[in-house]
Amino acid sequence: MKPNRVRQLLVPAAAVLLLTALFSAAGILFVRHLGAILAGISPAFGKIFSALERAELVPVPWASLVCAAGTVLCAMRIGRGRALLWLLPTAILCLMGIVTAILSVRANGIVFFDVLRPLAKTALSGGLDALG
Amino acid sequence: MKTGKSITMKRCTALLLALLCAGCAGGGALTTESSGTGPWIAGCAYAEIPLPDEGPFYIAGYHNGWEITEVRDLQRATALWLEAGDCRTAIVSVDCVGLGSDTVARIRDALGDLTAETGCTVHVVATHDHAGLDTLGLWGPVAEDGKNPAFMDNLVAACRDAVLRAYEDRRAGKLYASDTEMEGMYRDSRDPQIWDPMLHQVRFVPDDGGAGIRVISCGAHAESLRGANTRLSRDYPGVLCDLVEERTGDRALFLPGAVGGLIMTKEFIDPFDAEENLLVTGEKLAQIACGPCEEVELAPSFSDTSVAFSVPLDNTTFLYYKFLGILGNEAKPGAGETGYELGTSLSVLRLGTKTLLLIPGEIFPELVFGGGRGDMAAHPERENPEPLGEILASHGLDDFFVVGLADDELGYIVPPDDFLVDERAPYLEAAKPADGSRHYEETNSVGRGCADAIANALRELLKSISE
Repeated sequence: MKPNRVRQLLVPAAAVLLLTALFSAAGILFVRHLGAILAGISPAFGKIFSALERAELVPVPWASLVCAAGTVLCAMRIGRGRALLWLLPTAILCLMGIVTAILSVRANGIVFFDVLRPLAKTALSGGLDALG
Repeated sequence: MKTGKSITMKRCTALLLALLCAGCAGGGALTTESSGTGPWIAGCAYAEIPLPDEGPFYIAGYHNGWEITEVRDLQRATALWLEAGDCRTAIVSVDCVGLGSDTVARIRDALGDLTAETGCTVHVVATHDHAGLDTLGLWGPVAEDGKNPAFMDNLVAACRDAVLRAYEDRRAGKLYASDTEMEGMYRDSRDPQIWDPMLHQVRFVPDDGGAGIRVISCGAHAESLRGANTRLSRDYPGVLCDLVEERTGDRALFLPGAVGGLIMTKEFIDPFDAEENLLVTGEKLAQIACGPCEEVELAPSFSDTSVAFSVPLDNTTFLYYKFLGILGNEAKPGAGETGYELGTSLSVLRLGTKTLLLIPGEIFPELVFGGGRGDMAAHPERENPEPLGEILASHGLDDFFVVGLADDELGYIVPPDDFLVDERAPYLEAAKPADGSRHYEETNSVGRGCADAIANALRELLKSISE
């Protein structure tokens, strides 16, 4: 394989990995500080989520990796003209990368997404008032 | 002609298959066992669990966010040391609503020096006291941990203290077992009306004529003070053990039985007075415990076998509380409806011809003795597991009693054929079917698969003993 071709593959691959790491860091920081963030709304919320300060990342945040790959691909298209057309999907994929990283965070052995799934299902069936 | 590539592929495939088979063959629960014969040696001691200086002190069992208003009597950790030959165990009975496997692990760690020195096992059993401080975290304000960290530290310290002093108290003697049938003591708030009517006792008589020890077990929730109570107390197990000691000189510890379903002692006072009901309940049980009974001497042969296994986690409320760090059981991805399962354990202690079956929760008696609602059940098409009593009997262990809330608290263990959750808010609200049947216990259970997991684990444990 020609050296230029290798560089053409390695640079975006490194960018994807770096972006995944950034998404993951953002996700972990957000969840670990969720208690402090929510305390501004209500001290009770802050107390409830204080245990998330020990949150950790799942070994491979696949969803964030995919979003990072999409972000890099779209960003590469910006450089080749029609910048405005590719800016929006780049931004959306970047945002999704952060959101999926948040959802991939694990606290006390349970992944955040696995908590939100049944909560959403209960909310859709009108059962959330039972939480009170 | 075979190429190098095809030979390599075949070798890789063979290796993969071999690894897969090895993994499958070794799959399942992990058992540990110790056994011995020799003179019975036993000791007993208790330690009170002091209240820390700072609250809040949420009272466990009924309501979210209720705090204690008065202290009637402090909770205790009461330890029994028992050994015969090379088999040694410490059983700690703690006056509390339940202890998760994480707290049991803390207590075992605190006794690490003793277990290293003696090779003993440690079993921790909660009396299911509904008038003690919250030790699981479920009775604080909603979604807030109701445990008081300083109280939990005191609890662990009291367990360690009690076990160490029980170990120092040990002396040789004889062991006797009795089972006395009780009448008019219990009520069952959920059909079918099935409970263990026996008061089980294991009595140690030291050779030196000193104070004896009694292990007393019966299968009723420790809630004779009922739900409006906010006084800290050991409830009827405390009154029972105090009266037994007062009348016989024997130190006593209480172990709950198959209390699920929901078995509780009756209200003996009308109009209801909590204190009077507590005293009458304790007195009735003490009269049975101290009264005439047929005892059998237990030969000094002792074994303690445990099996670790997983239970599918279906209860989404337990999932939320686990995520928030309130419930401390070990969770890992698995077969539950939540995508997770919980690690737990059960144990079988054999004291001569008497077997104690240690179950990590509040098991419905019909899962032990058989019976059920039949066609009236919520899901009659589902099959319940073989009753645990029949599994034990198939291995010649038909003289047994159940010890519930042992080494963990998974909540209620409900028969699968009568397991029903609310469709709109599963595990948050109790299902209310048209036939008016009760399904509250499902909201405080791990899920439908728990009963089968326990039966399978017991089979595996007994198979390992036979082999």
